[in-house]
Order: sequence, then structure tokens, then C-alpha cells
Amino acid sequence: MATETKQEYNITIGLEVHAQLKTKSKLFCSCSTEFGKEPNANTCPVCMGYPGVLPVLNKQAVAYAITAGLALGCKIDLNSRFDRKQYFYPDLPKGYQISQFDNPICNHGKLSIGNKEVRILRIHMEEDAGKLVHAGAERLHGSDHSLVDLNRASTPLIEIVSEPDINSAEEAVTYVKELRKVLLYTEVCDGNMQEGSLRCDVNISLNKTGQPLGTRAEIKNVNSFRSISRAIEYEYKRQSQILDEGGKIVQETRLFEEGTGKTHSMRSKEEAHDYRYFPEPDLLPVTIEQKQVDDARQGLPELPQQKKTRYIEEFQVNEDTATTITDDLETAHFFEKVLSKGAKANKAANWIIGPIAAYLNENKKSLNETKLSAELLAEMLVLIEKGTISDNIAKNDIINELLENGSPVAKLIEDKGLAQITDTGAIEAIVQEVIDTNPKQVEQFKSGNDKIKGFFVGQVMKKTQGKAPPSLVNQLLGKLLK
Amino acid sequence: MSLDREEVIKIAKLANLRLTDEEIDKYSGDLNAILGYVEQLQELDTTGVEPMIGAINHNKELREDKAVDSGLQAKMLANAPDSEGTAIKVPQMS
Repeated sequence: MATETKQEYNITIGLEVHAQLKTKSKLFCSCSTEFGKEPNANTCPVCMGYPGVLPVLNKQAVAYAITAGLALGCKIDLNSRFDRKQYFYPDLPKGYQISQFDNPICNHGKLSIGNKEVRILRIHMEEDAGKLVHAGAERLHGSDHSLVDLNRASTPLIEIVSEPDINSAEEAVTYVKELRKVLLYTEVCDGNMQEGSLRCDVNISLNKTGQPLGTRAEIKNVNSFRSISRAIEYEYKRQSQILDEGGKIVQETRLFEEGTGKTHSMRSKEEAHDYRYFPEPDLLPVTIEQKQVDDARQGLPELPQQKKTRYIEEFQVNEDTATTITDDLETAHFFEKVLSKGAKANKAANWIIGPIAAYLNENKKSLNETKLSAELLAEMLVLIEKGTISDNIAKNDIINELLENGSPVAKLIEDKGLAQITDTGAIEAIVQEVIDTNPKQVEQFKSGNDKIKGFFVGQVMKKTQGKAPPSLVNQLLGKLLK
Repeated sequence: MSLDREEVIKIAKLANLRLTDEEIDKYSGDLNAILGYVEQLQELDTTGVEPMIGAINHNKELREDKAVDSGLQAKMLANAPDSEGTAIKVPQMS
């Protein structure tokens, strides 16, 4: 980790996060945005860049951009504009990308990453490029051609640009995680990094304390949390080495390679830095009514950090637990539903992040892939609370049944005879029996060996198959061993 | 303001145009004539005037988010110089 090595240089990081908006159709045409179709299945003359066609802006994409902007504390510009960013590459059929340059839809937001606030400079809308597949990945260098798939061309993105307020790899990862959570909570992006729904460019520079900020390098193709961390560590090493030797950092775009963990210069695109932006003549300015912004603000859901704070204050769960539960919206919804069915907050939280999370991890499942409903869990927790079943019995004999088969709790307890014995007389008889059959241990106890009491508890539990309430057993032992 | 030969060569390169020496001279003249004309317009004081990007200044007619299949994929693919399966084949990109 960069921050764990001897840090002679301060590291300054700004992130550009591209998030694909969850629309059904593309940004400027009606082609589907569905992932995983055969190459060029989702294309039409507009996204293929045919001459004489006109782009028409997707209403929902604008709505999503506004929602994302508001959730990140941005000011929404009621009059923004699209521009052409011009460069040549086979994945860009028009020869330009329609983006927003000097007049983006959202400006000046912020995102808290724990003890620090990262300022967001701007959020703009733009269309994605297509995908280039190098024929036969294993013979990458031997192949003489590339294949173009334009299914992704013109799918709607927002690019969220942070100020250079991030100072370590850990902070960068936290920032992207928090950002992803906000996008998932507001349901504007599915956050799927494997499918490229969320991608990152990382701007990194080094300087010494008291010196002005250094020249930055922009690292592209950083598309997982692990890659963000590795790319930053590699760049720290690369740049500090150059500076140590008295060299100068070149402002350039570098590509991160997942395989080697290294970054290398993208010389081929050096010239393309002159994008010659100009206002897109095929589109009208984006004008938004204040009412739409107000309505979107009203319609914002509870955001991850608000939810976390509420869990701590309202339910008195500890911060780590609140963080774990709110990290995933599905889990948070589940938790709240369990509470609404009468379970106690702390118990429910501990079950969700404990035995249930362990089961999900082990079986690589998400909650909605199990048979466990909030109602079932609540029912089980209420029965534990009442003393009908013990915590241990629930853990060992009930919860997996519920997760795998969704069996009715009451029937399960009855069929397997899992209820705790509540007949004090019956337990007292068993305790007495255990005492009578183990005179040696009774002797030891009477001569002062307190620890031997555990042996008696164990024997009673064995005889009752764990169905005797431990507090009652202890109480009876205390009484009968005298 | 006027463009020198170097700038014309750079612009041509960015636009993916290969120009002969004669063409560079010709376009340098043409471009400078256009810039000269725009320069005349810039003599007007436009302080406080909102830039006008188009004839209509609103965008109320946006498209509803509904996916529609174009049905033109095969025809468009046939227009591509080369293809493999349903993908367009291009010279190898590094």
C-alpha cells in the first residue's frame, strides 16, 4: 500500500467515474441498452453514425442525471448543452463523441467518505463508445484485425468528476465505494463493474509538502476496487522514482494493465488531446424546469449515509453493524422489514451480519436467492425472544432450514421437537439425575472446584438435546448442589 | 489572427486528411479568409448578449425511454467493408 511505504511525497488524486445510466434505450436513439447481446444487435443508423440522421435526447437519461446530481449535493444547471468531442477511433463511428464540455448539467457537489468530504467538480452526460474486440485474445499480437461491436455505442453515461481532494489509495477506493452506493440507492446505475457499468479514470500527481501540486498522469481502464488501489500504488512508485532521480513527470494518459499491475503510456492517443470541442449543432440546449428539479429532490430516497445515521440513532446498533447493513440496499430493506414484523433491532442486525451473512458468503448467494423471507426471520427472532427456542438451536437447527427451504418456523420446531423445555419440574428431575449419577464430580465441586459446574451444565444439555434454558439449569444446579 | 502552415498541417492531421503541399497552401489561404471574415464580426460589442446556439432555445420534446429494434442490422453490416459474424472487421488496433 502506497500509504504504508515511506512517504516522501504527498499524493494527490482526482477521480473521473463513468456510470452507465439504467435506461432501457440509448442516449440519442431507441436502440436497447441490454448487455450481452450478439455484436451489433443493438444498433441503428443513429448510433452507427450514418450520414443524415439526427440524435434525439432520452428524457429518462436527463432525469437520472438530475437525480444523481441532487444525491451528490450538486447544483443543477437549468440550461446545459451538448458538445462534440472529436477524435478518430474505430469504436466511435461518428468520429466524435457527444458529451457536455463547458456547460455540464450538474456542478459543485460533495461526497463524504467518513472523516473527509470530497468535493465534486461536475457531472456531465455523454454517450459511451463501442467495444473493440481483438480477434482471438490469445493470439493478440498475431492477429491482423480487430472486431467492432457497437452495442454499447451511445449508451448513456454520466461522468462524475471529483476535485483532487483524495490523498491515498484507500481514500480513492472508499470514495468509489460510497459513490457506487449512492448510485445504487438512487437506482440510476446498476453499479456492475464487471459489465463496465461503472468505470474509473484516476488522475495522480505527487508533490512535497509546501511545494505546488505536481504534474499529473491520467490512468485509464481502472475498473475494479482492487485495480484502483494497485494502479495508484504503481503510479506512486513510478512517479516518485522519476522525481527522486531529478526527472520530470510528463502529463500524459496511461493505461492500467490488470495482468501486470503496471501502467504504460498511450502514445497513440497523444495527439488526440486536441479534441476541438464545439457546440453540438444537431441538438437543442438541455432546458429543465425548476419544478422537475424540485420534484426530483422530493423524490430522492434515503441515502446510504442518512440511513446509517438513522440506524445508529433510532435502533442503537453500533456503527460497524450499521455500515455493514447499509452497504447493500437489499440487506437494508430486508433488515427494516424484519423490524416491521416485530423483531428487535440489535438481534435482527446480529443475525443478518452473523449467521446469515456467513451462509451467503459460503454459498455465494445474495439474500433474494435464498428462501428466507423477512417474515420468517422475524418469526424466529420473536420465538427466541419469548424463550420458546434457544439461540443455539436457532443457529444449529433452524436458520439453514429457513434459508434453503423457507420452511414454516412453527412447524419446523414442532416436527423436530426443538422447543425449549419450559417445565421446571422436568428439568429439575434431570438435574437431580445428573447429580446422582456423578458423585465424584459432586465431591470435587464441594471441595471448592467451581469450574466443575460447567460439566454438570454440559451433562444436562446433553440429556435435553440443548433444549433446557441455560439460565434455569444454572439456577437449579446452584440450588441442588448445595 | 492568421494561421501559419504548421497549424494547417496540424488541423489536417487531426481531421485525418492527407494534404499535398499545394493543397496546404490553398487551404491556408481559404482558412485565413474565413477567419478574416469572422474577425470583422467580432468588432461588434456583444457584451451582455446571451450566445445563441440554435433558432429554438428550449428542448421540451425529449424522447420517451422505450427500446425499439431498428431491424436494419443486417443491411448496415452489409455496408461495412468487412465483417466477421455480426461484428465489423477493421485493421488491427493495438
